[in-house]
Amino acid sequence: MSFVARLERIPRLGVGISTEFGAGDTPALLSAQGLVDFVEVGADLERGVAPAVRAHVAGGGRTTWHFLDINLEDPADRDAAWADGVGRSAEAIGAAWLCGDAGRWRIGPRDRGHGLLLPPILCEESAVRVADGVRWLRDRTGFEVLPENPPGQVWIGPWDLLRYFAEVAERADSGLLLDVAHLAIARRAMGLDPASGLEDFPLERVVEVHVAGSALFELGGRWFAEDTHGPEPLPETWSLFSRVARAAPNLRAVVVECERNPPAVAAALIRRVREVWS
Amino acid sequence: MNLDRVQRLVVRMTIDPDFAGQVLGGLEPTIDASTLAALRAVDANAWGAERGRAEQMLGNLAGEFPLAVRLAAPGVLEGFVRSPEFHRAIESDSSLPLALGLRLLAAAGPSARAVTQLEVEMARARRLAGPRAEAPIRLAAGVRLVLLPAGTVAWAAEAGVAGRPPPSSTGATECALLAPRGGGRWNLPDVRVEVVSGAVARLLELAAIGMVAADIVAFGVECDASVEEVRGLLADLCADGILDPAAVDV
Repeated sequence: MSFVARLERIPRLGVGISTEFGAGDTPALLSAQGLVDFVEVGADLERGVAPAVRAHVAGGGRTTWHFLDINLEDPADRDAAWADGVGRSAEAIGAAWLCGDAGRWRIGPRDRGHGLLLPPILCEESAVRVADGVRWLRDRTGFEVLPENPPGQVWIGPWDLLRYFAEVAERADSGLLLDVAHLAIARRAMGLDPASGLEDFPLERVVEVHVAGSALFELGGRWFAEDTHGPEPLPETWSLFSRVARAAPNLRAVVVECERNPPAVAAALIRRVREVWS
Repeated sequence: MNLDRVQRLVVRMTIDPDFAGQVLGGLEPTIDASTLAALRAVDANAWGAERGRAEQMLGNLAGEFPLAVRLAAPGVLEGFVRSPEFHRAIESDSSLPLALGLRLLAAAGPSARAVTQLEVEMARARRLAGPRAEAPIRLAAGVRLVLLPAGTVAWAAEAGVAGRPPPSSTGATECALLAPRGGGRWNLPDVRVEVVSGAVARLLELAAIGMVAADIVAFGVECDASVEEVRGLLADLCADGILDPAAVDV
């Protein structure tokens, strides 16, 4: 079944908040207060999901599963037992779909201290690998899989970042998770206009968007941005979000990544997001 | 471009600025021209902008060697990112925690050596089943015996409150038994550590190289114990997960 046909079955979730093991109480509190429509659960099989997530699900709350432990760019990482475990866990929390940064979540073996988030190499070979990985995970679990553009300062390869993800989605016939904060960070690092490449990007494949705060820092006379999940998105993050929210016809969910902020601070950011898209 | 090779280089370059300088300066002869061109196409400042990566990695790794890191000389932990152990582990897809353990052990002074060795052996026990004897009476998978200066295990267990210096490697020794517990496909096991003495230590040393039925009798004679008493001890050790379960049927 094609992505267009599958879109019929992808629910509209609304505005959600991210969470992960050890993230604190803010997601649960905002969910209980009805300030968010769903919770995106960042999880790996080593730690599983937090009790607060189970409580959210038991109370009828909706979720998505954000993986933190698969190297989609590495064919050798396609472990059927891992995929089956993720499928079972995602089903247990009623996840609407799977999503997560498409690149590498670790270097070397699955072991403590090997976890880090590496962007993919921006070239055709890598795009083919990631697309194959997305198809494999979708087929194995039965869940829709949305690859996400990761954060990063170092981008290697001949392709542009957005061309790369457009190719991944086309080859995998999948939707996309566009993280506009990650995109803004990457464009700064590349020295490009934040909206560069958006004019040719297949926004009809964007099913989910992430918005988050970032922190600026200076290095060698240049200003870079760091993905802090803080309370204040960069101005270019907002402008990217506004543009994408207006122009992505199949957008089903916006996740505000602010899980470690005080509830009132996170709630204020969520309100600002709802003013743009709800 | 070999994608896996490039990703390993990116990790090494973003974590070790000295290495990044060497690569970008063309001083790494193993890097081919097209890869070097791709690496040089990145803004030179961006290599230093992944500033949290080394800190995050070291924080995660250090948690497994709390006492060794505490006893290490200033700069040893931070210097790991420039060490051959770090670069070799990334290049060979091998364990970074074990690589850090080796670095800590190499840099440990006399007073830190025993405790560092204990934590390194615990890290090994969490990960490496290691080769086992072929004999029917043998240690269970992952169980290790380590000879340490007397008092090392107790010092490590009480290190949070003890003000006394750690035992050093002169004088008496103790046999520490390290037994992994729990864990699974996605989780590392915990490691139980205890000092074993006398007959138990001797029996486990023999089991480490493998025992057969005749050795039960010989061991009983050596320890002035009956065959039934030795079999009882074997059964207890099997039930405790220290010996391979098959030993109880010998």
